[in-house]
Amino acid sequence: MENQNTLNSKKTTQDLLPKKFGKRGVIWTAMLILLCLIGAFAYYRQLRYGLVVTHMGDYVSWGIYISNFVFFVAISLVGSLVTAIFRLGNIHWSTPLTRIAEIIAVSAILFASFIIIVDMGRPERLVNLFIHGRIQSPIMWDVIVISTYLVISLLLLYLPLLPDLKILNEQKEKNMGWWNKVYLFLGGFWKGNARQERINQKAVLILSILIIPVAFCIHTVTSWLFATTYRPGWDSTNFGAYFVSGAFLVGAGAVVIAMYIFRKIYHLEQYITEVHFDQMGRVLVLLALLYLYFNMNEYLVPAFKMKKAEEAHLVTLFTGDFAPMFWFSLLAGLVIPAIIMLFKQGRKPLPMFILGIMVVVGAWFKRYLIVTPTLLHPFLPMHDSPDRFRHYFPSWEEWAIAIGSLAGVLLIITFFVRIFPIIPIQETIVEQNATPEK
Amino acid sequence: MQKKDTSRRDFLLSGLLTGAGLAAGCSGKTAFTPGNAEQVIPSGEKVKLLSIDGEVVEVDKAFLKPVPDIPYPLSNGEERVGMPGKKFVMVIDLSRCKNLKKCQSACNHMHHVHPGQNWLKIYAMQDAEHTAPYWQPTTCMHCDEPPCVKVCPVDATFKRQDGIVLIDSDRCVGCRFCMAACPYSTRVFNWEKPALPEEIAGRDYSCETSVPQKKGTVGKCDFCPDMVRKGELPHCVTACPNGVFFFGDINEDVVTNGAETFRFSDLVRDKAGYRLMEDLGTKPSVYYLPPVNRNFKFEEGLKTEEQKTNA
Amino acid sequence: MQLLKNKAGLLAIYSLAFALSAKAQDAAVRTVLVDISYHMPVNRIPYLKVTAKEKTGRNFIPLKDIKGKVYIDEEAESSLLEEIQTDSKGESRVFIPAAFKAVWDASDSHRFIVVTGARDELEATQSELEVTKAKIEIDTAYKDGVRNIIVKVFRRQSGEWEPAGDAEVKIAIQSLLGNLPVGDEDTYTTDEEGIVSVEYTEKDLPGDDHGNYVIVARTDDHEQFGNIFAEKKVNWGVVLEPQDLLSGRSLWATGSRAPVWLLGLAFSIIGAVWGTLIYLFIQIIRMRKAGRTAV
Repeated sequence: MENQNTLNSKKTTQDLLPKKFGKRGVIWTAMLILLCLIGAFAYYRQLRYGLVVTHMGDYVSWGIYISNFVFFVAISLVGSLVTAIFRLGNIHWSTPLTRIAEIIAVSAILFASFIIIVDMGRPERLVNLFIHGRIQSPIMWDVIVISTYLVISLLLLYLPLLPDLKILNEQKEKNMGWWNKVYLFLGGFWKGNARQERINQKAVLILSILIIPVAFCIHTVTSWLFATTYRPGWDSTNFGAYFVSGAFLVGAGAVVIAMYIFRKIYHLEQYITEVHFDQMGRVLVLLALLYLYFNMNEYLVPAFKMKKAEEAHLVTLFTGDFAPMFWFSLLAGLVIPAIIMLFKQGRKPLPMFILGIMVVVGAWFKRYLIVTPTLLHPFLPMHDSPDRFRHYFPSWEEWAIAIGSLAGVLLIITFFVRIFPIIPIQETIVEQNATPEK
Repeated sequence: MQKKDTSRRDFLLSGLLTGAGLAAGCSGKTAFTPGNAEQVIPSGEKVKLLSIDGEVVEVDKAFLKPVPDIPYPLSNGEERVGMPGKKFVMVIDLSRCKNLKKCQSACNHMHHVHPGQNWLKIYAMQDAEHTAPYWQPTTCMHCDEPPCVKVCPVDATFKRQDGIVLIDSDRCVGCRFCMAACPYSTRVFNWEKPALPEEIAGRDYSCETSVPQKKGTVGKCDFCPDMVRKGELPHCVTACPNGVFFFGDINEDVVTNGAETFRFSDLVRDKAGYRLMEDLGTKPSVYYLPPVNRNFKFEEGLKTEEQKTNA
Repeated sequence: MQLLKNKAGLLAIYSLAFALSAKAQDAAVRTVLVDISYHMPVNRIPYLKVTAKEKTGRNFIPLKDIKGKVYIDEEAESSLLEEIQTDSKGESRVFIPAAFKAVWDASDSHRFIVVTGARDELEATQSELEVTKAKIEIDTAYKDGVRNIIVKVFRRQSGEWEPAGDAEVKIAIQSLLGNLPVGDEDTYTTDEEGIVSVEYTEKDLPGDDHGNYVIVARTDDHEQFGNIFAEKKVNWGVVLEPQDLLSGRSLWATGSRAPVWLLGLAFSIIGAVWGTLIYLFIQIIRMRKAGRTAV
């Protein structure tokens, strides 16, 4: 029995250790770097000529940078869902998914902060936030809560990684040259003794509890950037819950996509099983229904009253210029995936992968719909300002930066997978050893 | 209007002369102390002048200037506090407006607003299907509960003691939250490097003049505090040939458009003044007099719009 | 072809002629409008103001750096009060120097002459003004619950101050940017005694922090007296208690004046979360130590 376990552990370790990029991996990485470079060039142009390179104007003063920011913040919430809520709920099947969720959270939140700097007219004055910061401003709350969330997410990524770092440190010959030094620096102290185990477990438990309110804060505060104004479509008491529920949905969708890809490329069928997809499918249905509920609140209640200021906004969404996008994000990104996932066949890996993509794409457009149409419907009519300010379609620079930032998130995840085991090895071994006993 | 200016400076001068302890008998200090005029620093250089009765009076040269030098540039701290004891209001009489846009062009010219953008906008308003259309100029409302100031993360836009809401373009980070927060769409952004003559671009920035505007920061109507410090009216007020704009200090309860002067409370009471979007609770400092008994037909204002589109 | 050439030649001549005429027009002397006016604040020190402007289209443009000379009574070197140069507003002020005491006292009225020299294409000008010495006094009376403002205008006659009848005066309450007219009339005319009496009806007008405000009476470009004015501080106003906008705590105040509830809420949350995080960092250090000691 003991031998069997050791044998299993060895195989598991071999299966889950970081692997070199294959040909596809190299092409993928090169493509992401290229997209990032194009984005960087676009940002260079923006720094040089000012925000005039975007198609924003005095009315649509926030464009896809901000919707992209909201999207990133939303996706990052999944870290707290999978690692914290599931952990506290004593759900064991999610163990292989925790690190996937946590690295998505960390990379998304990093680029969320980056994109907000990109949106600033004077990024070099970022330091003013610390010199002249006003605690009354929701932006200040956002800065505080995002940096806090980043620290917590990093810790939640790091602490469970310690036992795996020991494994990596024990087989230096198989690792990439100088990364051994990094592994040693990060986890050299980890001997896996009882005292360390005890401290670590307690720390992870505290983090799991702490991250939940902070995660709620981060997205509620992000929603308040909008809800603290008077604008139709933003002036809503429903906004915090609406954003948080939507965030869990898109985050879970992103995890499903990542699960499928890692499973396929690294042949992890044994570790990320159909059961995982099935379970995630159930979770997604629940989250989709929750989000649908808040959507109803968000649109149906104002539409019932049709206050003058709200009317113009709602009509463009329901039947006007933004109707195709609105119905796409609502149906393809929410209703249809939820219905398909109700069936067992819909929760198989491939359909789940496709539905996950639909959810994430729908969610991205949903964020666009939250930001832009509202700004096109100010209280006073659009007047006495240049014609180009009365419409909004992002310029190539904005697309390049937005796509570049998405590529950046994927790049961080890609590199992470190359360097660290994406499925927690130690935890998997422990669970494996525990399961056959039953 | 010219005469008006003259008289105002006379008061100023009298205030200074008497304030310097020269004139006998008359009031010691005038009620009129625009900004920091009292801080005029004596040059030490005296001249001997004649009074009306032929007596010889010795006066410091510094007090003889038409407009005493305000110690500009004021420090950023002084500009953030504003003029003590004042609280500025504007009254816009909609019955007099025919969309001439003189206010707008004067404002754009004096503040070097980027071409195409306007701090002062004139809307063709029609509240409901069967109600009459009218022209509505809007400036910054300089709200007493300013939503823009609430959301600013760095104190770059702030409200002063005298009620004026200003922007410090040296501090603004360009997040544009204030633009999203303002329900009156009054704020504009410098999307690119402002097109300024070299002489203007080279000036030291002042929150009170809002000149020169800076790339990547927000701009808006500032109630021309630099003019008010000199005892003069904001540019839009003096530019309007129809006397639409009244400006004054609510603490004095007096507003003027340059040609006519009224008690603010009388004017707003007698003509049923109101403020825009009162229900939002922003408490604007700009009051509107309803477009009743109009001086012009609405249609007359359409000419300006046509000229603009043709141009 | 020939025709075309001719046309081109004609065009050349036309354009040449046009250019020449334009140049000729440029070289034409521009008319300068120079005006001299007399001012005397609070019956004290009189001065003259010279303004120079030019008319372009329908607008008057102030002319700066116009040089000139201002004389008293006659255009002679001995009567030269001051050499002037207009400022950016096209204005210049001239006071009566003490050296002219004898001339000033010699007559009840004086003639002032301003002469500007030609500059570039600006022509030379001359302008005159005749002024009779005059002054205004303000008095107040309170009778049967009614306040009256009594304005007296005097003129110099044979070295004595005599009442000036039939003089138009404006009476107002001084304010920051425009004066609030008193009573229903825009201007009042003095009677034979040189007196105007106006009933004061303004109620609850705010004064300064002591309830004071200033009544002013002035002549407005009077043909004989020029612009003279007097003022009188009265304690008729409501005591002003200016609102202190900046000292309170509010959501729109500066960062240092944030509401206490917000500060309490924010810092207790930040404190709790970061306190826990610091505790966790200490745990990491403890784990490192545990790794070193117990091998």
